[in-house]
Amino acid sequence: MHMFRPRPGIVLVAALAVSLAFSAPLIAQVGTEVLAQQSLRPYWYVFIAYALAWLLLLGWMFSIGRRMRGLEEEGTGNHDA
Amino acid sequence: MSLARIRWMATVLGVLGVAGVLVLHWLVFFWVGTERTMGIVQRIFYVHVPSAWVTFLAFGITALCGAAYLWLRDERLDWAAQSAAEGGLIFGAIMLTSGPLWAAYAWGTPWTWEPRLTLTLLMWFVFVGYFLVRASAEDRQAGKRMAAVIGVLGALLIPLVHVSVLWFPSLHPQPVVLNVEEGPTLDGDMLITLMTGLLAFTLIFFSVFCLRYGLEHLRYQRALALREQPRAT
Repeated sequence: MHMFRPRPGIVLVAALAVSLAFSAPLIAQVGTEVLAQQSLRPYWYVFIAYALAWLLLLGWMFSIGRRMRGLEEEGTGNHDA
Repeated sequence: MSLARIRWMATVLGVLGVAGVLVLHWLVFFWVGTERTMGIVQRIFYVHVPSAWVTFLAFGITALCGAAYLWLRDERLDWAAQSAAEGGLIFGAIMLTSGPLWAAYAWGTPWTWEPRLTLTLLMWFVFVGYFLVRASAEDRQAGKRMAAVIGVLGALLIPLVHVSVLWFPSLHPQPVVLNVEEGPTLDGDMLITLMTGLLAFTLIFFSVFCLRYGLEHLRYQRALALREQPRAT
């Protein structure tokens, strides 16, 4: 079976970029006056929380994919031998 | 169930889960109102609570499948228990990182040794132990049985974690959805966003759970093939 094999680095960078892009409207939603009174610290916390969640999930999926591919290649190797 | 069918199920659940996650992101970042006292940082709630729910669900599945494995000795139950435990650890890690990020802002400290946090961390480490026991046992079958027992015992902490905020009120907020006396105390838009998060995370969990179960299925097939190879030659 031909499997879709995305490059982990590209997917992780894309996930981070999407998280960052989604965080941008938050700043706009609150408004500049309120923003001037607050630091950017809570925004960073929200961004890190969401980014970490997706990194962990993607990492888990890649780890399963890698183990599965290893087994499939091992099986093909045995079959060829 | 064949490997192709497991993969098909994982794909369908994955597509639904990703769609749910996209809707969740839209709701969290564009639609839901900002909480008055905590502000923006409260939005961590929409990733923290669903990950906690999936952690409990996954460890619950591990316990049920582990207990059934001890009784029936069906390998497929062990595959399911192992797959759910791995998912529980991942979603537990999300819960245990998102919570302190919120707490660092809301409480001024990322961690306190209060009952709910301590019990949750203990439960997570019990399931780390689940894998350590499996990996370190010389007799694989004995390792599986010991891990099943640990899974069942570890899941006993789930109700304790839930009631800990009611029995030992501390810094951790009280339940806002599973509130027996008052019912859900969240605003409507926040409740919709939270429910979307719960659904999306559950779908994502079951999608990857199917993939992980498929991995164990493939391992079993390879082991069978290797066992039959000398006979064929």
